[in-house]
Amino acid sequence: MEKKKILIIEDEEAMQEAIRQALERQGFDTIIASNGEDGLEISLKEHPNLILLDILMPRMDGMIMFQRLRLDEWGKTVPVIILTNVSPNTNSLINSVLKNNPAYYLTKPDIKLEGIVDRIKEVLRIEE
Amino acid sequence: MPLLVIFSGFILITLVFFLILSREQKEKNELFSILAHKLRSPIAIIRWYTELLSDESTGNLSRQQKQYLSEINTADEKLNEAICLLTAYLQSQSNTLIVNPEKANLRYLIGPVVKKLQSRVKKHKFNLREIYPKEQEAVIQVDTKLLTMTLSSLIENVIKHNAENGNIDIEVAFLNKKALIKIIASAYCVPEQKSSRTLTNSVSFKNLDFDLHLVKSILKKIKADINLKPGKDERMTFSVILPI
Repeated sequence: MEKKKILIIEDEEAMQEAIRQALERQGFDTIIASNGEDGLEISLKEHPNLILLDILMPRMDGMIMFQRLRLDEWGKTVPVIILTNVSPNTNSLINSVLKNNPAYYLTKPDIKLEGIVDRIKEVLRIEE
Repeated sequence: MPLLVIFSGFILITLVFFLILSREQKEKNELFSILAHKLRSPIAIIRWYTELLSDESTGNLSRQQKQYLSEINTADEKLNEAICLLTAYLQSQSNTLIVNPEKANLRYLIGPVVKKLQSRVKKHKFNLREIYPKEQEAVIQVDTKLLTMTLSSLIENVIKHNAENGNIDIEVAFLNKKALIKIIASAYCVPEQKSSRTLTNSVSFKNLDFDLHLVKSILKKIKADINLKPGKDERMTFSVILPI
């Protein structure tokens, strides 16, 4: 069975590595991007099965990347899980973007790696 | 003509004032996002690497190593909770806190909070009970994240100050179109230097732990109120009153 490919868009290297380890142990393939700009380019080229997206990043932040992704024909439908330190209670821009473009939302320290993996499996099942 | 000029000037000043205010709000929003990011990133990293270390595929750990990792994890969780509470408080003070009410059953908010504190409840030999109304489901409209955060802090405070072998009752009731969450501690011991100022009819939050002061401020933002009443023999009741 073909392995599902997850694109991890996250600028913090230690977090990239932790998530990559957790996903590969569960049989996923992973690609990593360190900012929104590279993440957008890679996602449109590689067409991953799911994108894990941080928000606060250099060069292009996650919200801008997300809005641009949703303008693309393929990008409209790819499942995105936003994985961030920023709670929706704290940022009105995030709130307003998500109202028009729903995505799954997880806040980092509140969730274990196991929880992230479980959510990815759940989302991929729903999307199928 | 002069009136028209004055009126136009007034409109312009008001517009500029609101533009400056909204720019200030935007800057505050960004500041709090960055603050959350800077503080919470290391917490997430500690949590995740503790989890990776605990996983068998990384290697076998001794019982003592597992215990030490568990302590690191517990401290990390507490730090995360403290930062969440502090960030929410700072935002509530600067009117940038966004409240997202949704339908929630109090049983499923309070239950997990109590479950998380079970090891401490057992350690101090408390008898902790959750009491819910029999005649209706305990469902209200509330920002679940903010309420959970504040209840967690409140219950932890009660556990911290309740004497060993004491009783703690968490009681939910509905009264006059409001939901009432009572946390009743049978043996709440306030530190001696504070007790003369606190065990009176008008108990000040500032005289108790600072986190209760934060809790009160955040609860106001979700249109809830909190009061506390000392009773006889160190019994203390915290009451959180929420609109349905």
